[in-house]
Amino acid sequence: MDGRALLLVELGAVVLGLGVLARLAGRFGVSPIPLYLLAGLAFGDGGLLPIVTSEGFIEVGAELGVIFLLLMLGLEYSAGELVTGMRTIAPAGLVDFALNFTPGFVGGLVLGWGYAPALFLGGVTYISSSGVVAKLLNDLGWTGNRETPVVLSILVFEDLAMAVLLPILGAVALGGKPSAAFISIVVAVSVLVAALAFAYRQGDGLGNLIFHRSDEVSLLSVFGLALLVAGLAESIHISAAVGAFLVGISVSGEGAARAEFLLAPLRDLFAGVFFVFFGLSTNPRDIPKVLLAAVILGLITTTTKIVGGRWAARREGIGRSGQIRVGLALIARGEFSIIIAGLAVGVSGAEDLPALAATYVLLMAIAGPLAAKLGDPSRRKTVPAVH
Amino acid sequence: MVRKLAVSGVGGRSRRLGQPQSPSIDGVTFRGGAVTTKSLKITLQQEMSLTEIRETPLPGVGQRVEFVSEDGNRIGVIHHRTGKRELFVCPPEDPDVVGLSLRLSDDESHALADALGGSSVVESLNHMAHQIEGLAIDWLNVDPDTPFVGKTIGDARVRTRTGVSVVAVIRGDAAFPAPGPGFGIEAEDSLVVVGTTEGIEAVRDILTSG
Repeated sequence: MDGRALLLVELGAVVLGLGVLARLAGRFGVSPIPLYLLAGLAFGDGGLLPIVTSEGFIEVGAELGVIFLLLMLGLEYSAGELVTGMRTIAPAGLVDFALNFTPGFVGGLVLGWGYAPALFLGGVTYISSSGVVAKLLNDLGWTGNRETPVVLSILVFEDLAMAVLLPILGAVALGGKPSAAFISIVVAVSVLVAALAFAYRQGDGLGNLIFHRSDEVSLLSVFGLALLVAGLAESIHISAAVGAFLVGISVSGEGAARAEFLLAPLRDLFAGVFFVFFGLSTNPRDIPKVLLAAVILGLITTTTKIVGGRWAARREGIGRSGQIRVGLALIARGEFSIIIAGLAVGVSGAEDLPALAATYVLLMAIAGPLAAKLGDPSRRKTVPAVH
Repeated sequence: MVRKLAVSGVGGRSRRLGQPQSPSIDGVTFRGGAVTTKSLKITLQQEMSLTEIRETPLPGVGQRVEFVSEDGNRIGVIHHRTGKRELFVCPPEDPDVVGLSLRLSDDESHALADALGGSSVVESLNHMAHQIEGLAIDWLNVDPDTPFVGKTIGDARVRTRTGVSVVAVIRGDAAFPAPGPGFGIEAEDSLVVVGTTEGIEAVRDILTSG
């Protein structure tokens, strides 16, 4: 086979493989993310069946995957929702940050990685997986529960926190003098605040501008704008993901609803490619030596999520069983941990970070939903919900 | 009996059933008929003020609307951003947890709403009409070509001429309870009027001929 034929065959095999895994995940009601990661590990360097030809293509696909994930995340919220959400949940969100960022950060230092990689590990352990948690609430029928707004508000806070964290980590990853890093952080945060203020002020304006009765026009406009802004953001070291997130926030109203519908299939495809790519670039032979660290971190950060969640729920006057459910719902880590770990490529001292992050997410994406299912104090023996 | 809900979420707000968001006649006061007014108001308050509806935004998911029924069930609907609606009931033993949930498509929710008895306005008005003999309530549609389009309720001198009160104006999905004399009438409005059967007929004539 020549190069082009091989490229198509490899890509086809990867995407078809994703399809099989997604079907499997659906059958068992689990998130497909850990399965995609495992597939990536199996196909990568040092894995069972290394693929070579299409790696360049998959790398670009993975880049697009991050942009889609963040763009869709932004589309889910309007700037107004973010601002009101922030106001009410800020104390709980900060506690959640302190409790869950610290274990990763300290863990990185204990492992002797130095400050920069430790910051990334803090980011990995901090952010819960919006995707896994949303699916969990839906599957367990918790959406109507009294405590659910607390869970969702904490997720909103985390997503915004990530928009602040990503440029900071990006600046750290670039290295250079602390003063240079400081300047790029200041620039990043100011751009972020300005963009949020713009999105808050203009309401549905941008959404209406983009929205067109032709789906083709809407799709191309949103996607094009997201790529453009992502590229510009990357060029001033704010991280492409944050650029895409800001575009998502700025588009609201009917335009956003339609764009979400149109982009969802593309997000599924490219996010899948992104997880595979992360698995590909992680050497599975590194996993045994980080396994113990991942398990310990997992245990600690399961506890800290529960503690933080309970505290947040108690502040809102939620009963004891609801408090526990808030904590349990937030345990799962997933896409955002991987995105943050993906940024650390090339940071000196962070050589073991991809393997540790992959192992950690594998554990937490499976343990989170399981803990929520089994740990719910109000769990009934029979399932009364009708779906 | 007014049930106050415990704070049930972040950024939630509560409203009484029938504030202007949905057509209803909460807030209607009656000026004529001094004898019947009082009992009517009491009846209305007992009927309408029982239920406190609470709305909570669910960021990324949609909106939750809920109330507590008299026997302690927390009953609510989640309006998903996708357009789906989820009806849920939390039993009194554990009001924090959903005991039953039903996912409804657009059509199914309309079917259910119809089955439950449609709009609360019609229901309350019918109920009111049963309470007082001789009292009639009717909805009058404002024809686009009546002379009163663009004028105010005061201009039409409805009550002076017929003794009938305009107690609410329904415009599209919005209801304006207790419109003042300065309230402007628009084409396609529906006027909710209370009075005698003859009086309402007279108003109907005024609306068409001026």
